[in-house]
Parts: sequence; structure tokens; C-alpha cells
Amino acid sequence: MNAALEQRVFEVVATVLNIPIPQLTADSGPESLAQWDSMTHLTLVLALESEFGFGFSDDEVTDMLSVGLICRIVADRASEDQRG
Amino acid sequence: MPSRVRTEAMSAFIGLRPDRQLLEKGRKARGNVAATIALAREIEAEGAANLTSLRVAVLSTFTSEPLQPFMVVEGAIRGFALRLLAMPFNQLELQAFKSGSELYASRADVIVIASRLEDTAPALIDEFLTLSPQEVDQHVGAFATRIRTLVSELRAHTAAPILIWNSAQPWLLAAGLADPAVFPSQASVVERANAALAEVARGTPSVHVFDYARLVVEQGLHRLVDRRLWHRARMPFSAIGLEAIAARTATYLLALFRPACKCLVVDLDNTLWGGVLAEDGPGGIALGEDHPGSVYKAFQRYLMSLRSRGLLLAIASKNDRDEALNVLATHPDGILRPDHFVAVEIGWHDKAASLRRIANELSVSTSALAFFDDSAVEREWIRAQLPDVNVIEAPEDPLQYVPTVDDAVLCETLRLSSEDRARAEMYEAEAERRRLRGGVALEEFLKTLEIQAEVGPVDVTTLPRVAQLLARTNQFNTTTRRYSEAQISELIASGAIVLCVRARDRFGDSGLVGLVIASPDLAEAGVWHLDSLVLSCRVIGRGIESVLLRETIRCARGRGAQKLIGHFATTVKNEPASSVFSDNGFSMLTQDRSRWIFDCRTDQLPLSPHIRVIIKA
Repeated sequence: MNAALEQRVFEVVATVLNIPIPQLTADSGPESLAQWDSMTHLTLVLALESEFGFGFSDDEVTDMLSVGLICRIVADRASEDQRG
Repeated sequence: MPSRVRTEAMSAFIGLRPDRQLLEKGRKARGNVAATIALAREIEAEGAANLTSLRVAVLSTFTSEPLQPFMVVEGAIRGFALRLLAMPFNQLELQAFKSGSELYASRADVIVIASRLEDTAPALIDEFLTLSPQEVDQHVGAFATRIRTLVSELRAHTAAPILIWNSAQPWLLAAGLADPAVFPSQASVVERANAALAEVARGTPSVHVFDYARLVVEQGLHRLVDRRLWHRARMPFSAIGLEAIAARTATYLLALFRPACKCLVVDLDNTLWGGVLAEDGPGGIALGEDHPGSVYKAFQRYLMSLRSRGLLLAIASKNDRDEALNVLATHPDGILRPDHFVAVEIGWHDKAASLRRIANELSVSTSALAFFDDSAVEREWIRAQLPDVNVIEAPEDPLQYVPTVDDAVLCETLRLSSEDRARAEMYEAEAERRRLRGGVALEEFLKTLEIQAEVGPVDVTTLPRVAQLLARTNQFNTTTRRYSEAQISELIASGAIVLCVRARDRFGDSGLVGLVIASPDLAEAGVWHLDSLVLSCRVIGRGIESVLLRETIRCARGRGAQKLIGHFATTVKNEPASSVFSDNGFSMLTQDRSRWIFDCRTDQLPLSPHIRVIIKA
């Protein structure tokens, strides 16, 4: 995936969760980070949406179980938007 | 029981303003959730100098935590360090009825009750169509009782001001498109519930309605609400919604906790009118009925409305005093006149000194002043010299002046007291206007309008508007000749009569709405030609044209006219003017209806008995 997109995802996640970027990996998720609770997850969704300018479907919200998965969903949406 | 009434003014609010860096950062963060969260964290970590601390308890029927960063940022922009105390959701009564509840332990400075009809009277939303009108009444009554009980319980436990949300229309109307056909309609029932809630608020000290319904009207229900979040976390709002709610809440807090601004000091050039008087001259400034002058006129009208709400107005302007006062006093489209200002500081001196003098004159501290000036230099100077003055960041676009000043909540109070009278008068006028519209004959109706027409020769202040009318008017325009300002001036210089008319009626000023041009025939003495007769479409059908024609005939007669030839050139649009000559005593001169004649010695002058005419020399 596009490194710039990935960087933006990491920045948003780090800001919302209030942890430094170096502490995040693609595997970071609700399982590994205590502050990633269900409410924070939704805040994260809103933050990603306002950062990238698109809305996620309910399924996509469900599937965002790690930083890596978020990157993939964002990348898919971004390329769809480009093609569309 | 604690003392029941803590007046809002008692709450301390030091007159300091948030610094500009913070304002700038806040503006940048808006619209981006992560940036808002980051800024909120920064504000909280840095312990917020210059900000007034406020503890805001939120008692809601939904999850309110996500509001927190938005509240911190929107609060800070308005001078508050807000602490949001989110009470467990859906515990309205539980928290209110128990003396030792978390709500009361929180020692909140303000309590926000954020509930929606969906939660407080669900039957009215979810089962609406199964309810009989009587059952609807019962549910509305039960809702009102619930709110009254809740509020009085809270009031008995704490003196903190309470902001209570009213309700927006539901996401879906039970009857869909048929809602207006149902009696009572669901939409009207929501309004009844809101009215009942407002009544409770009015009747309880320091309880104010947070007008969520209005916010939804402004922002749009579908933009404000995010159903995904409701289903997942009992949190109904989109990011846009959270930001809008936070901003509006902070505005209410300003109204509650900041001492009301007493006086708004405004600049003149590019503020009350467009352009610079000293450079453009009285005829060159933009102030009138059409763009861009209309924008400034609307701003003047808005300031006038603030004045009737009880705000004092003053002027601090760098200008030639006599010239500026003259424009204020005589500009035909001016709304604000010198009398409307409690202090007028016009000259070439330092504006900080002007503001000090104004404060002195009013016996208030400079913290009771707000300052609105298009010049960033002047604003910066005042900020540096008088840090307690509320310096409003004037936007580049004059169209934004009104919302900007409005957002600065100069005199937003949540209740009107002594000003009530002015408001009552407005309501009376509106009621009368409605009454008047109802079924009277046209002549009778025109009579009741109390139309006033002021007719006079075109001069330097009216020339631009006259040229504009000539350029823009297509309907009531007899010949559609587009003369420029220079050409009109030439016509006048060569002996033409050019008159213009301003109209007003009991409901307001329509401004300069019509003009006529009549020239003497170059060959035949005693013959005059009615070259142009133009009337703004705003006043067609009120007889203003008869006034113009009568005065033209009188003027021409005074200059030796015996016959006046009316010219008419048909266009695709000027049908509305086609009968103007036949209606006003002219006789057809040519079969094609392009020439009409009026004998100044024998023909009966056109009449307009319902209009009071003022002749300007």
C-alpha cells in the first residue's frame, strides 16, 4: 500500500489513542492496546473519515480490528475512489 | 435547600480573551476529528492560561463522552477551560432524585440535560400512528410532567444554571409524506412537546432551553446524526454533529457566564458601507438596495436590530468628521443615523483613545466594549492597548459580518427582560401585517400601507443607484435605454429633468425605486419628451409611477412645457409598463402605441390619493 496513506493512518490512530507512533505496529488493535475500547474505536472511525473524506460502511467499521486492517480498508477505499 | 437563585451575572468571568494563536489553532482543527482531539489534549495539558474554568455536567439519554474533545476546543475558542462531566447515560431521574448522586457530587457549574423525545417519550416517536388524539395528548402531558418534575428536583438540589435540550423532528415521520394529513401531525406534536418544555424552563429560575431543534434546522438532521454510532454505542451524532453541538453549547455558556457586552464600537469605511469615504466620496461608497451596497445595508439593519435588543452602538472611525457625519445623516440608504450611536469618535486620532473615551462616557469598563473593524491593523492595535476589549475578528467577506458579530454573542442573553417591549411591538406589527393582508380591496389595502414617496432631482448620492436601476430594470421600463452615470449627468447639464423616487411604507423602507427622465425637444419649444420611466419591480402596482409622472409634468410645466410626449419601446419583458401612459391620462399619439401625449394645460394630472408625497427640492 501507499506509504503516505499508511503514514496518515498511523498518525490518526496514534492521535486518537494518545500513544507515540513508534509504539504502533500493523498488528496493534483492540486486543493488544487497552485504550482501544469500543468507544475509542468509534472515535477512531470518525477521525479516519474526517481525515480521508469518506464514510465507512458498517461492515468496514466491524472489520477494522488492527492498524494493518485499517490501512487495507483505507487503501481499498482510496483506490476505489480513484477508479470511480 | 441551597439559595434558589444564583443570578448568572454572579458567576465570575474575568474579561480576558483567549489569545489569537489559540483561535487560529482552533479554526484549523475544525472539521478534522484527530486534529480536534490533539488540540483538546494540548489545551488540557497546558492548563489554559486566560481561560475561565467551568465544570459542565451532561445528563443525557445517550453516550456523551465523544463530545469531550469538541467541547474543550469550542470552549477554549470562546474563553473557557471546560471540564465535561459525562454522567452515566439514561439516568435522568436516577441522578436528579438522589441527594448524593454523581451529578450532585460533581459540583458542576452548569448542568446540561441532553435528552431526545425518542428517549423521554418514545411512544410519540415509535408508536405514533397507533395513538388516538387523546392518547397523544396524554403522552405530551406525561412528557411535560416528567420534565417539570425533573427540573424542579434538580433546582431543589443545586443552583447551577440548567440547559435543557428540546427535540428535533424524528429521523422518520411515522406517516411519512402523509404526516401533514394526520391530525395531530407528528411534526406538530414534537413542537407541542418543545413548547411544553419551554414553558417549564420559563417558569423555573436559571433554566434555559438549549434549542437543539434549531441547531438541526441550521445543520440538517441527516448531517448531524450518524445511525451507525447510535446502534453501536448509543451515541447518535456524526462528527459534524458533535462539533456543532459543542460549538452551540459553548455559545450558550458565553451567554450564561460572560457579562453582556454593553456597547459595540464599529468602524465606518468598509464596515457600515463599502469603500472609503475619503477616496470614493459620498456617491461612491457602497450602500443601497443592490449588491454590494445591499450587503452593507443589511449589516446596518442587523446592527439596528441589536440596538433594539438593548445593545448600545458607537463609532470609532478615521475619517473627516463632518463628511462622515453628513453621510450618516443623509445617505438615502443609511439605516443607522447619528442619533443611533451613543458615542461618535470620528477623526484621525488613535482608536484606543477613542475606545477609552467611549467607555468613560458610558461609565463602563473597556471590558464591556466589543470592537468591529475591517482593518487587521486597528484590531491588533486595540488588542495590544486594551486586552479586555472584545475584538471581533472581522472576516474578509462582508457577507460574513452578520454571522460573525452574531457568533460573538455581543448581547446574547437567554432571556429578554426590559427588551421584551420592543419585541412585543414587533410581534404586534407582524400580526397587523397579517391581518392587513387578509381580503381587502386593492385600493383599501394600498391605503392601509401608508405609502410615502419622496420625489426629487437626482444628485451625486443618488446618481449611482439611478444608473444601476437603468442598467438593471427590464420590466417596468418604458424605453430600456441604459444610460451611464456620465450620460445622466450630461442629460441633466443639457436641461433634462431627471427625478428619482424613494418609497417607504409602514413596513419598511424600499429605498430608491424609480426614476424618470424628460428632455425638452430641441426643435420645438413647449414640447418635452418623456425619455425613460423606470420602476423597480419591488414596488410595481402601488401607484408610485403616477407620483413620478405628476411631478415630472409639474416640473416640465414650470419650465414652459405644453405637451409631454411619452415614449414606449416594447421589449419581451416590459409588458408591466405597457399601460402606464393610458392609465395616467396620456392619449395615444401613434397607432403602434409607441408615442403618447399629455397636454400639460388641459389634461387631468395623474392621481395617487393613497400615497403621501414629499417633494425634495
